[in-house]
Amino acid sequence: MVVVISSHKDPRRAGRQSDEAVPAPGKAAASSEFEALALPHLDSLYRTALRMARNPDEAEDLVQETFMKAFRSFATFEPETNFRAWLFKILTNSYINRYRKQQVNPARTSLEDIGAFLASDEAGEAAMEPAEAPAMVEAAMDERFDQEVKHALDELPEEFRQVVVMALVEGMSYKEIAGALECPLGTVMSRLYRGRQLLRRRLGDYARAMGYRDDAAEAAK
Amino acid sequence: MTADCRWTRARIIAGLDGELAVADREAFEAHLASCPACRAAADGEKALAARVRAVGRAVRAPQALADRIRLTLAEAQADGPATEASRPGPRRRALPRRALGWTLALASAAAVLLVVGSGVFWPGSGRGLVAAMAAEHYEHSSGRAPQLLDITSADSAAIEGYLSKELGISVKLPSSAFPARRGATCCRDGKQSMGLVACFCQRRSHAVTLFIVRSEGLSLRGLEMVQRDGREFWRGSAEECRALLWKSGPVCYAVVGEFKDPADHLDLAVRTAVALEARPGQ
Repeated sequence: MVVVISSHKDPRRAGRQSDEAVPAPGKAAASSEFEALALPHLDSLYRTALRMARNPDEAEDLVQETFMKAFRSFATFEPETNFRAWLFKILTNSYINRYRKQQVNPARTSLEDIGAFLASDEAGEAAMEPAEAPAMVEAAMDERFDQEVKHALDELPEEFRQVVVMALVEGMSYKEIAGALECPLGTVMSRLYRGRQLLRRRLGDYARAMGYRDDAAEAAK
Repeated sequence: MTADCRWTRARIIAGLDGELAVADREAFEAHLASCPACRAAADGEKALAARVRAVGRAVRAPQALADRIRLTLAEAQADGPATEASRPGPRRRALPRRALGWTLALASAAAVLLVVGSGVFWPGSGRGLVAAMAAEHYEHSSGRAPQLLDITSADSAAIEGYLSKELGISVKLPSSAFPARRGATCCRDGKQSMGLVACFCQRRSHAVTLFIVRSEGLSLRGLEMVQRDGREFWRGSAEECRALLWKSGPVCYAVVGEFKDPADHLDLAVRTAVALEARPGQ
């Protein structure tokens, strides 16, 4: 191997190589179709990966793995199904394979649905007490709150965190989330409600500590 | 609290998420319109949700990740239909067997990575990935499965000694510039003691001096050129180099490190260049 240090001996080389580094357009056709569909979800996938793995490096690796897996199995994607949910399913499975060998089985209940869940005590308990609300509305305007919100999210138990991020941050529908997590709709809802309840309690305590007061008299009117 | 209130409270989250059936939605809205307490509860829930959303959405994927994904997709495309899904990183074109490169990396936790040969490594998300990349590269270049050997030391002198003995290369690591944890992954293939050494590192945002020995198909766009002792070095963020290095030709050297002072980094690159030039048989 001839090693020639100093590329300045041929300064034109670098320029010529710049062009060579661009993939041939014809060859990239299929990947650009996939790219056009998948890349708009990059931020969502990264944010969710970051909240799941709680580490930026791991999150990047997870997302890159997700894209590669999705690209390789793109042929098996059924166009009439939800592409975002499909990507999130791959992300979730990648995460589970990497960090959690045994999946917390989400599919043990099969007949839950929105109505059944909403009729349950759990749903009622998850709602914010009107007395807490004014303090929360005020506190949520305060930017000092942001760090606490991040911590509160990160400290949620994993199965709640995942659902809360998908619903609250990414604005995914319950159905999309159920598709991504391969679990019944009712499970999505109970996890979401429970997760939001935990979030709210933690942030409510913080809001009170910051001096925002619940206003029971006002709210009870 | 009336039965209507209880009914409504149970539906606040689904209602705000737009997940109620049409009939329920009407009753829900009607109740909120007439009941200040439930409306307050909904407002609180809405404010909290908005804050969490704003905080969550402030995070964007790094541009370099997008670049890397585009590149790896193009690579995968060039590879044709692939069935393997278990590789730790992007798949690469099969390299000619004759391109038996030798690759060495000088290591510390925050990383000095020096790459020579037909493949390129970069700081990954930890030693596992780097070791996997090292192994993948070595298989590509030599066609043999390597034996990976990790050396970990908090003592840069010990790593220098090891590199000097195993690689016959003398490089001084600027000890003050590195955090406490250091290490290297060494790759052996039996009788040949040294295949490559790759660093493992903890973080991604390393300063990089890319030290080009001879390269084909390597675009240097986006990198800053620095001259020193008659040699050219190219500098950029680890991410910029990482993206570029995917397209690198058969021979390319990179020194990747995290240094307080960029001059230290360049010093190391120069010393490495000198040491490589002095290496017999190259």
